[in-house]
Amino acid sequence: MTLTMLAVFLVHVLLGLPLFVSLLATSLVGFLFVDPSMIPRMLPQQFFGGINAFSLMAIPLFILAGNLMNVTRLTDRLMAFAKLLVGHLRGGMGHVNVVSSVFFAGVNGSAVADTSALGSLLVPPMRKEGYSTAFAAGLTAGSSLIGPIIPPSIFMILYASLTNTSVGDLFLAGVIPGLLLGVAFMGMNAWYAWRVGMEKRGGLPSARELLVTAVGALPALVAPFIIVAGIVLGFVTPTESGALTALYVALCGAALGNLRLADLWKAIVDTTRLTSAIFLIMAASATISWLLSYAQVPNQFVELLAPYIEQPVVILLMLSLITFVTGMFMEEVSALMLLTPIFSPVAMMAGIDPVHLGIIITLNITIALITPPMGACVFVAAAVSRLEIVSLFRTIWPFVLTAVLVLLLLILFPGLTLWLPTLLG
Amino acid sequence: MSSLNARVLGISRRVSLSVASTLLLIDLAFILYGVFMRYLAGGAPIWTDELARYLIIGSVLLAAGAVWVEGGHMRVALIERLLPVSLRRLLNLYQWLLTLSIAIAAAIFSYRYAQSVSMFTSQGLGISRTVPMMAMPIGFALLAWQALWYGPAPLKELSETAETEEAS
Repeated sequence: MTLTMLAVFLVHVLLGLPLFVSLLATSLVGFLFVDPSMIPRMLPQQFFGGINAFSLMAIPLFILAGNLMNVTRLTDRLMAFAKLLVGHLRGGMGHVNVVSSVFFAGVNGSAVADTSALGSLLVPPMRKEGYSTAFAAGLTAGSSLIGPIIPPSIFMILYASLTNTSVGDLFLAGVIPGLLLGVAFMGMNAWYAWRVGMEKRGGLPSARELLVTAVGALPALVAPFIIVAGIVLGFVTPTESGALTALYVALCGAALGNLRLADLWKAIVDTTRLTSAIFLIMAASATISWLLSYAQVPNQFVELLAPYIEQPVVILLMLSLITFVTGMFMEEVSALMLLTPIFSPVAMMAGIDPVHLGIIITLNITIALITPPMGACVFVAAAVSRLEIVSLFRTIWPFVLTAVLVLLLLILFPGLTLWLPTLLG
Repeated sequence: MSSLNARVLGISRRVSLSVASTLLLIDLAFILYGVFMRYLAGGAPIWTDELARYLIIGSVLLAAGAVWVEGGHMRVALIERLLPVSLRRLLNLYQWLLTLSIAIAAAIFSYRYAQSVSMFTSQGLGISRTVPMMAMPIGFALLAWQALWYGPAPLKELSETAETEEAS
């Protein structure tokens, strides 16, 4: 049954059907195997149940906060600050790209939005500085992976709702891995700049210049701290934190005179579009998850990996490999929704901390955003850089490898993820 | 696409997106109301969480058809681009028929299911569970309606929709 469902799903995805339609078609086939008379009752029940959780309501609100950040042009201030901090270094525009991704990650959490915004703004000046278009586009796509790792993160909220893990702990656990990714991509950029013989541009900014720009970017810079502190200290739930962040960004935009009613409405409509697309995939995935549980697939998976249960590192490596391959051919939200319920019991048996597993799965799923042939960020980076998708598919692999190295580091040293939640959680 | 089809689609897309977006805005307002009541009045009403969930689910399903017309649902269009025109038309017909069939079937099943839970009431709002569940048949019926008017034409991609909107 599982293999047939997988085949039906892959065929429909390749035929270009919207993912939620492919998932619903697959679940109908699954029900035919299990018991067709269940369809009228279980399909609507599981579909509705898949999105009927209060914690999931945080997702549209964080998307809205990110959209408001764009329309109020607070993101411009973040980029100006990043430019001042690292723009004078050798390969400065590449560093600006990575540092901007770190800043954007604190309010946005969407790698695709990050690639689109930064790619259109930074790839042209990077080309002027001497970067090849392929490297500039690859770095934009690669550094956008920081978005879903540094809080807030849509993937982490989803994982938390599937496994009853604390969103606050997951958000804290994502900080160091996100910064590690940033350092890794900056290192890669520095090596590239040195190899092609780029020169330094300009001198250090004056203290006054730095202070003025930092004050300008302050409203956007403090947003992630408000989000994380509010949740970790127990003042608000993740959903309430999302609502407060959206309100905070709107008020900042209004105070700075950058928010018109038309902009506000545009941000809300864009959020509605994206929320509908994501939630329908989640709802349709929930019907398949239920079918897989009904067919005892998670238990079979535990039995399959039972010989390695005493070796958590081996288990994590195996789960990562499966997620990596699955992510290459499946959209990220559906991959997360389908794999988490199967992986979670295995990880529990192996004594792996659910927060650590959450970060490993999130990073794996995020890496899938830049792996051919379906990595959404690669498509966006190629489009905004006006580059042939095939040539970016060839040049993206060093960036994938860099992210995989960070993943391996996290698997080998769980303290990198668990230290902060243990300290502050 | 004929001008009548385009007009009907344009109106239903705009109306359903506007209603769905308004639900999202109301949702935001109720969540903020819950937070402020908790800290200012010493306690939030118990129904805010539930209402927030139902409003988002309603918003998601109402927008489903409009987002489908705009080509906003995530999909992979790689193979489609590589096919010769005749095969592409056949593929578009299959995509349309499958989407339409699933939307109609889901609307019927979910309507029956929503009716079957009418005797249960929700914990927070104390309303019949049929009320929130009706978001599903309405959403899928809207998807079917918009798919019917759209016909077996090639599915749009988001960039095309953005260009059309910019031009208009």
